[in-house]
Formats: sequence, C-alpha cells, structure tokens
Amino acid sequence: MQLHQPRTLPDEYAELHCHSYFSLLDGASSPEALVERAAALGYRSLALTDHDGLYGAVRFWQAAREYGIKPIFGAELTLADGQHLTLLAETQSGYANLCRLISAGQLAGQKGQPRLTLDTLAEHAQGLLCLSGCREGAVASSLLAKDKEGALSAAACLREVFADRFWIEMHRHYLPTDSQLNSELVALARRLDVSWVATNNVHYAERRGQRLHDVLTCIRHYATLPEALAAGLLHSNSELFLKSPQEMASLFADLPQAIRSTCQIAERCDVNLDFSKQQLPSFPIPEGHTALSYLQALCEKGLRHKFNPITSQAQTQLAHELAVIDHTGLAGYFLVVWDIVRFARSQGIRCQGRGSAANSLVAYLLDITPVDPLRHSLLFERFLSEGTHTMPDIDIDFAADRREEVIQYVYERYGQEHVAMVCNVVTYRARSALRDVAKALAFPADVIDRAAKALDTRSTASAAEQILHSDSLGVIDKPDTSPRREEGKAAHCRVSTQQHGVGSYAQPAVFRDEAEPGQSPSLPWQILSKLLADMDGVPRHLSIHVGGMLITAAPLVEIVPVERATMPGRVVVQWDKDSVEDAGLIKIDLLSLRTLDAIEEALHHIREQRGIDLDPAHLPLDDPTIYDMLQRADTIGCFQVESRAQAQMLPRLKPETFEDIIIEVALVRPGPIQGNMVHPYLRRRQGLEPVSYAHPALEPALAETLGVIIFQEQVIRVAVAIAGFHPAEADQLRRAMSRSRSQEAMAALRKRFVAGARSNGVDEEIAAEVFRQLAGFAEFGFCKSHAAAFALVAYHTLYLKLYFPAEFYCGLLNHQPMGFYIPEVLMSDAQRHGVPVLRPDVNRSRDACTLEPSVCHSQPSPCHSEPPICHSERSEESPRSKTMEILRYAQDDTLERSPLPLAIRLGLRYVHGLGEAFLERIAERRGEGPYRDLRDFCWRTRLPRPVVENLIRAGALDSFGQRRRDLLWALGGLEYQQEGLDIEVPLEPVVLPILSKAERLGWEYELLGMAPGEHVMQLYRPQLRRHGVLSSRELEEIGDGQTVCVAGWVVVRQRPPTAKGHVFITLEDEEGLINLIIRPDVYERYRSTLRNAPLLWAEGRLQCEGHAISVLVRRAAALRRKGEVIPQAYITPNRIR
Amino acid sequence: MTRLWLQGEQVKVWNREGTPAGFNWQGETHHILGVCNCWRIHTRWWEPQHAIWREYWKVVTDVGLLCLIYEDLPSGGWFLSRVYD
Repeated sequence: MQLHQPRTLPDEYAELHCHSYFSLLDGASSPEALVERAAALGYRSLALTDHDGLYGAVRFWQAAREYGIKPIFGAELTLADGQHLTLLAETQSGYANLCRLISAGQLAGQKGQPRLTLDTLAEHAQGLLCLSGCREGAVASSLLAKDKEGALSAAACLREVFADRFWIEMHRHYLPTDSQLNSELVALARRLDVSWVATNNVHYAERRGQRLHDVLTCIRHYATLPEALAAGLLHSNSELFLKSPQEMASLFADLPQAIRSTCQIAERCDVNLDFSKQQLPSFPIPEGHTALSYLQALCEKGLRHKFNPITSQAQTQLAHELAVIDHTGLAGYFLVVWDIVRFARSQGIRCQGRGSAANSLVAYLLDITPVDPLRHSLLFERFLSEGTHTMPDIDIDFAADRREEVIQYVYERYGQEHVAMVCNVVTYRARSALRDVAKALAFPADVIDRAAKALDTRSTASAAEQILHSDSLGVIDKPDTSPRREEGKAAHCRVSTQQHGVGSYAQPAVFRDEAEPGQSPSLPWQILSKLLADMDGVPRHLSIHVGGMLITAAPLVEIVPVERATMPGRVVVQWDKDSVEDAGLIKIDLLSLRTLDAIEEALHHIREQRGIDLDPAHLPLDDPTIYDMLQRADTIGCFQVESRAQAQMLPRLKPETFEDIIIEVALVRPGPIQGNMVHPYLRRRQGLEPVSYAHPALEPALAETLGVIIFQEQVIRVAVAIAGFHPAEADQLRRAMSRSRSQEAMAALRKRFVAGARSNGVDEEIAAEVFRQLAGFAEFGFCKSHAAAFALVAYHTLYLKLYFPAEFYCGLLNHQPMGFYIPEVLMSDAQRHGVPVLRPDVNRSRDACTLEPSVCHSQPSPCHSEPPICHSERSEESPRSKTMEILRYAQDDTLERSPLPLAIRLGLRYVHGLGEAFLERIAERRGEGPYRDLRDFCWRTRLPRPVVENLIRAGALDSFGQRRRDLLWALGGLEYQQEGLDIEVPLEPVVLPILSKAERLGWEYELLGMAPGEHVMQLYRPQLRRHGVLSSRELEEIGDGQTVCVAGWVVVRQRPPTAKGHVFITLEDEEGLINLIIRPDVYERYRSTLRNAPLLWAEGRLQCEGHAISVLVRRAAALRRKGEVIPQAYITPNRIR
Repeated sequence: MTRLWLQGEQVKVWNREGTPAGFNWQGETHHILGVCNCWRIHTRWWEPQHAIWREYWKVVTDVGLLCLIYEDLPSGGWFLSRVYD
C-alpha cells in the first residue's frame, strides 16, 4: 500500500483539467510524467482529462497509486457543435456514464472526429461533475465572441443538466484577453448562482514541454512552425504547464474561491479501475451441470482420449488443477476458450494454444494446447495458482487466413455489447518521428528524406543520439551565419539550402564515407535531436491489437469507452493490452500464425498428391533424421529454428531430443543472450564445465538444463525448493523480479527470499547466491510451456520439410511474407533439397504456387522450358528418400513404390507488377483451352502490352517454344485490342541478337525476384574463381582462422539491438548461404556499401565451430556489373591454399 | 499619436511586490499609477537568435501616458515598446 503525501503546504490546489499525450497530437507528456511532476510539487490529487477518451486512465491510475496521489478520472468531451466540455467522474456509476458518453460521441461521429449531443449528455449525467470548459467551451467562446446572452443560455443549459454539479471554469494563462474574460465569467456565474473553479488546462508537465506541444500542433495541422505561427495556430506562450499549488493560489489571489473549489471537487471524487471482480459472460451449460462439473466432464473425456492407460499422475494433477480453477472461479473462462477452439476445429481451422497456458493439463485435455505438461515436466503454477492476483492469459494461434471467422463467431456468440478488440497504441518511432518533427522545423524535404533513410535505429532516443554525431549521419555544418529570416515565411529556409554551403540546413553528406570528424551539427539539428528524444513513447494513433479480445458480462461501455476501428463494423476499446491486464479484465488473444496455414496447405497437398492423411499430432517426436537436420542447421523454412542466430547455435547445441528443441527455442533469443545464460549452458553441454548446483535442492528443478536457470517455471521451482515459498508467492516473486529493477525493490525481495530460505534450513550465503542467480535470470527467462508449444510446431515443419519437401515449400511460398527469409531464399533451398522450382507459366500456373510432376531434362536450353535438376539423382544419396520409401510402404500398401517427384510451379502472383485483375484474367480465359501461341494469348486475354512484355521477359511464355527476344519482337508487330491500360507503347526498333544469359537472368531477377534453377552468382563465378573468391560450399573445407574472400547476393541484413552495434549479413550464392559478421567499426567504414549493395564481396577471417561457419569481415565492396567485378583496390593475389 | 519602437527602448524599471512601479526613460522618471493589463509571449524558440520570451505590461503613468513596457524574461532587461495617445 502506498502512503499519501503528508500535507506540507498551506496553499492547496488540485489540477482538474490536464492533458497527457493521449490527447493525440496535442498533449506532450506521459501520464506518468504528469503524476511524477505533481507529486514533486506537492499535489494531493490530479485529474486526467484527455480529449474524448480514457486511453491513459489505467497508466495514470497505476502511477498515481505509486506516488500517493489521488487520481481523478475525466475527459474533455467534444460536443456536436465542436465545443469542448470538461467532465469528471465523481462516483463509480459516474465513471460508467463517462464511458457511455465517450463511446456515444465516438460512435456517432466519424473516426477521429467524435460528436456528442446535449441530449445524450443529459441522459447520462448522473455521477458526473461538469466544468464549463476552456476557451473552446460554449460559455467562454460565446463571451469571447461578445455574445453575452449566448453564454448565459449555454451555462444555464448545463446547470440544468448537472444541477449543483456544475462550475464555471477559469484560466489565467497570461493572455491579453484573460482579464476581461474572467471578470465576465465571474459576473455570469454570480447571475446563475454557480460557483467558479480555476484550472490550468495543462498540456505538458513542465514549461519546456511547450516546444513539443508546438511541434505536435504543427503535425496535427500539417504545417511548419513558421506557418503555424503566422496562422495563429500556436499558443502564444508557455504557460500551459503543471504549475505549483502556490503559483496557482497566487495567480488567483483575488479569487480564492476558485482555488478552494478545486479541493472541494477533488474530495468528492472516488473512482477506481479495479475490474478484476468482473464476471465472464455466462456460458450455456447443459442441464444438470455447473460450470465446474461440466468442465470436469469434458476433462475426463479428454483424459480417456489422451492417456491410454490413465496414469495416477494424470488423475492427481487433474484433480489439483480443477480444485484451483474452482477456487479462483475460472471454470467459466476455460469453457469460453474451449468453445472457441472447438468452433475453430469444427470449421477445419488449424489452431493451437501457446504461452503459459500450455502448462495446464486441463488446457491440454480440452485440446486448447498441444503439449502434454506431464511429459515435459511443465508447471501449472506458472499459469495459475491460488492467491494469485493476476488474470491468466490464454493466447491461441489460428491459421491466419481464417482467424477472421473465429473473431466473427465470438462477436456473434456473445453480442456486440460484450465483445471488443483491444487497441494497440502506435507510438512514434525513429523514422516517423524524424520525418514529422523535421517537417515542422521546416527542414527541406530531400534533407529529411536522406536523414530518415540513414537512420540505423528504431528508437527515437537513439535517433536523437545518432543525429548529434556528425560522422554517423554525415551532417556537415558549413561555417556561416544563419540566413536572414522574414516574418512567418518558411520559404527562406528552403532557399538557403539551395545555395550550397550557405545556411544552417546545409546538405548532409549522409552517404559520404569521408565525413570530417569532430564537427558538431548546426543548431537546427540540435533542436531536432532534443525534440526527437522528447518524442519517445508519444502516441501517433491507435490501431487494433493483433488479436486481443475482451469478453465481459457487464456491457463493455460501462467499463471502458469504445470507438470505431478502421475496419468497418468493428469497435475497439480505448485501452491497450497492458492497461486491460492491469485493470483486471480478462482477455483472450486470438492470434494468427501463418505457419499454421502453411502446414495446413502442405497436409492438403499430401492428401491430394499421395493420398496420405497425415495428422501431425500423432507424430512420434524422436526421429533421428530430424535431429540430424537440426544439428546441421538445415532448417530454412522451419518455424522458430531457421533464423540466422538459430543456424549458428544449432550445430553447437546439437539437439538430440525434443526437450533439446524446447531449450533451443527458449535459449536463442536476445534475452538469454543478454542474460548470459547461453554460454554457461553450452559449456556444460559440451563438457567444458562441470554441472554443479549451488544447493542439492536445486537439482530436481535444474537438472534438465544442466544447472542453468533458463525457464521461468524454474524460477518458481527454485523459490519453492529453496525458500519454501508457496507456488503463488513464487510466481509473484518471479514477476516482481522481472519487472522492477530498482535497488529498494530488489533488496526487499532478497530479504524475503533469504528469510524463507533460512527457515527452510538453507545456509544464508547459499540463499543469497541463489537469489543472485535468480535475479540475473528472471528478467530473461523464457516460459517453458510457450517454448514447448512452439517446439512442437517446429518439429512438424521439420518433419514436413524432410519427408514432403515439395508440398511443404509450396505451402510456405503461398503464405508469404512469413518467417525469416525472403521467398527467393526458400526457392533456392527447395531446389537444393531436390524440389525443382519452375517458372510461372501462363498455361500451367495459377495465382498461387502449385505442384506438378517433375520432369528431368538432360541439357538445359537457355530459352526453353525448365532447368534440369534431376530429382532422382539427388534422391539416391540422401537417407531421406529411403525413409520416404519405407514410410510410404508402411502407411499405405496400395501406393506405388517409386518416389513421386514433384516440382513447384510458381504462381502468377510471383511475377512482379502483374496485379490481381490481370492475373485472374489469364486464369479465367484459359478455361476454353490452353493458349496456343503469343497471338492466341494476346487475343484472348487482351492484356496491355507492357504486361505481356513483362510476362515474356519473366519466361512465362517460354512454353510457346520461341525465344524471348523473338516473342518481344512479335509482340511489337501484333495488332490486338488491349483491355486495361491507357498507355501508348511506342514500337521499339528491332534488335534481334540472342539473349545473353546475363540479360535473361537480369530480367528474371527483375520480374520474379530470382531465376528458378539458376543463380545470379553463376554469372560472376568465373571471374570470382580467378580471384580466389570462395563459394559457400568451398567455405566448408577451410579451417578456422584463415583469411577468405567470399561473395554473394545479400538476403538478410540484421542489426540486433543486443548485439552492441554488430551487423549480421547473410549472402546467398548458387550453392548455399554465407554468414557474415561485421563489427561496428568496420560497418562504419563501409556503411553505404553494406547498407545498399545487393551483390557483395567481402574479405575476412573464417570462424568455425563445427557446422557453424561465419566470416568476420574486414573489407567489403559491391560487385560491379561490368568489367572487373571486384574493384581493383581489393584484388589481391590468391591467399588460399 | 502612438509611438512604437520595434526594438524597444531600454528603460530602467523598479518593482513593488512583483509589479512595475515606475521607470526611467531618457532621463525622465515616470511613476506607474495603474496596470491595465499584463500578458506573456513565448515564441519562435526554434530560431534562437529571434526567440521571444517577454512579459508585457500595459500601464498608465502619473503624467497620463498610456505605455506598453515589457521585461525580456531571459535577460531581465526592460524595454519600452509603445506609447499610446
């Protein structure tokens, strides 16, 4: 419990009209900053009154409780005529009315422009206190317009609605018209026998917030600062900050009642946002059952289904979990989730639960989660325990394509009044912030563009830093006086930059590597930098959260206001998922996972092509070939284990069992890497370090991870084992440790822990050591059940890739974007695994990728049909094909023995720039019969010439048997009626030499993103070989520590925030992938090349650990298209033995 | 006739209880009898050479002059801006 601040000041004042940055593009401070400032100034209560919303209410409430300030909830509402009104919630039912009013206003208007009528206001006025508003309120604005009668009548109206809960609001902002306005307001108040109250209409916590406020105003009006100033849009001074109670008292020294009113009002208000006692909507339970008994019946059915025989362990666990569920009253919640999953499956929608819920046996028995918690020693208490004060969170992944149907089902089942999506607050990131702020500061457009593109970070704080360092952004300040400025004109700012070297907005040399060091950026850049730092966390707009849904028993509008989402017919609550959770509401996350779609499609293909009905749920998890794949990091395309970081870790960790996959998924993340868990674990696994435990009691909990704490569940187990905590307590400890890192908080936790340990008979020193380890890991620990659920999906994808690669890759390619790699990398990987990838073909392709029987050709013909990856050749070597044979035989005796080679036919959607309409037309008009030749094609489809050209160049008409150049020429001479584009395409002069391989590849890369069956690096290979540049395959033969030169096509560029400025690039050549590591200083030196060159040459030192190979780069250059592909300066005599 | 000084004429001001009580201008002393209005302007902070942060006072002097004086808040200097007629 928090203490209230002691009364130390004689003047007492409560601020009742205050905006946070949740008054979008108007307020400049966070709710927390406002509360903190208020506390520092000695306030006892503070109101938050954002425009038409309670977006920041929960954060405000939390902060207020932390600082011992009484929070008052309110809003500044926009009425139908655009006027403003300040409302404060006095009671809990007043709060509900406030939510209703805000929602009504939001839903009545258009998105972003709420409008509330006076009638609606009157209907829900009970429990609300009303202040007449700012200068845009009806009363003040009338007076300012010299309409005394109008002001009087507006005030009288409000008085009638709110009775004695109405005050005339007054400000003193040091404006010239304040004096007159306020005396008229007082006179009016006296006439109506209404009291008056002072507020400061706060828009920022401290005076310097004026700058950000001005900039936000500019952004809101799409203006620059000089323009906004000239148009009178900026507030003329900086008085809208949270002033000290003394200052306010002194400002209103002649009207002490105005100050006293604030305290009188504040004292009346008593609202809290703890909604954890809310009920879930009632679930239709069959006759004779309660929620719990029905749940039990369902679980017992699941038990019989999944456990054969039913073990006593399972029965005991079930009984225990049901008891806890009963105690916490959550039976209904489980039934709601079960019902949603049941519905999804009944519609053939693939789904599975994830997160901490997978710790629960009940969830497993209800088919919500896919992992058996007993088999993988998971911990129910991580998900739910008695005495816990937080709501459990069940997240479910659905096949992305069909998630919408599930959301629709929930809306229909529980009603629009009780269901809404949780919102997502989109905040400013580095680029968007820089663009908007620099624009307001009247930076020229091209300067802004280059600066924004040169930013290396997403965080506004880091961007602020980056701008200050002239080297990194290449900003050069030309020494000159600042230009003459005319009043209110922004044009001069732009003019000055056109003269090179003059003025303070000189062209930044963003791509110059020779930026002169030591020059500090000019003043506008400094101002920009400061403002960017202030933009940290500032909301830009709201959007719908990916899948969080609120389902409530009471009508939602009494708990939190709703507003329109951009999706028609959808409403979204004004709280994001953190606020929803902190307010104690129950939400269910209906997420989408494209991998599930891809798996579903692959299974569909397997059924169609081979007649096999595969159910991944029944796969045994111990196939040695799959673990071999993992150890070789042959995992492109596979869920969770394909990333570059994974590919580096897998050969070192060498997973052998499913538990190892779980560890791999949990460990290879920024958190554990940061928390220094990875290396200790690896060393112990490799036998380089003995497995030891600080205390023997730790062994049962930590044996599975060789004594290293990796999982959140382990933190709980350790706390229970060592300090004798109850599981609920232990989970609280875990939560507290991972959140608060303040010294005092940690000290308090350590005390509790050590005390518990001592009474448990554990030595104090050991307890302190264990606590230290826990504290170090708690922040980075991963939820084991979540890792397990994901590991299962990973295993399924590995299985499919291994045994049904064609079907698998087809599924993947049809659900892009997805995963770690671009589609082109997947295609190359498919080909390396014996699945030919065929060009899109107007006669054989559909919109999406499809499967075809693969045909082997002995010779590649440059302009005809398909490249020759002979499937049977490769399949002889790989053990995979053997297993395939066995599998097929075991599954279905009637199938043929010979393997069924399949190829992937790229869909027409993979031709860049084709567009859906044209795509459909090709497929549609093919219905009458295949296209016979170019003329037939054009006459029937009537596609515009540029489109046909692209198709020709991409090779989609290769099956007509003509060379592409010839086709193009023929197209030129073809007369036909085009449907679709009104562009004149001039006939080009005839040039008929045969298309060179380079040109052809160039066209294919341009139009398809890659050349099926070939690789652009093949064009460079002869020259590269002469210069000693190695291919990805050749690299495997080289020893650790050697200097090597490599080259390839850049497919991945990463700069993980935890990597301290290191950059990771992956190159692809015709044989595989090459991993590059670039240190920060090297990156700076070759920045522009590394950022932009699509084809890269690099030289560096080889680092290998088993199969994990990377090159630590020293030099880099872009490959050139003509002549010497490597710049002369980088050619050195062959160093490789 | 109103006289306006764009740059402001420098004056020396003395205060009583936070409000200006009188000023010296061009050798003459003026006592302030009453304050008509007071306001603050804080703008053009984005052009530090031309930023304005001032507190203006519209005052009546003992000789019946209606003047506008201001304090430049960052420096504390006082200036006469306008004399009304």
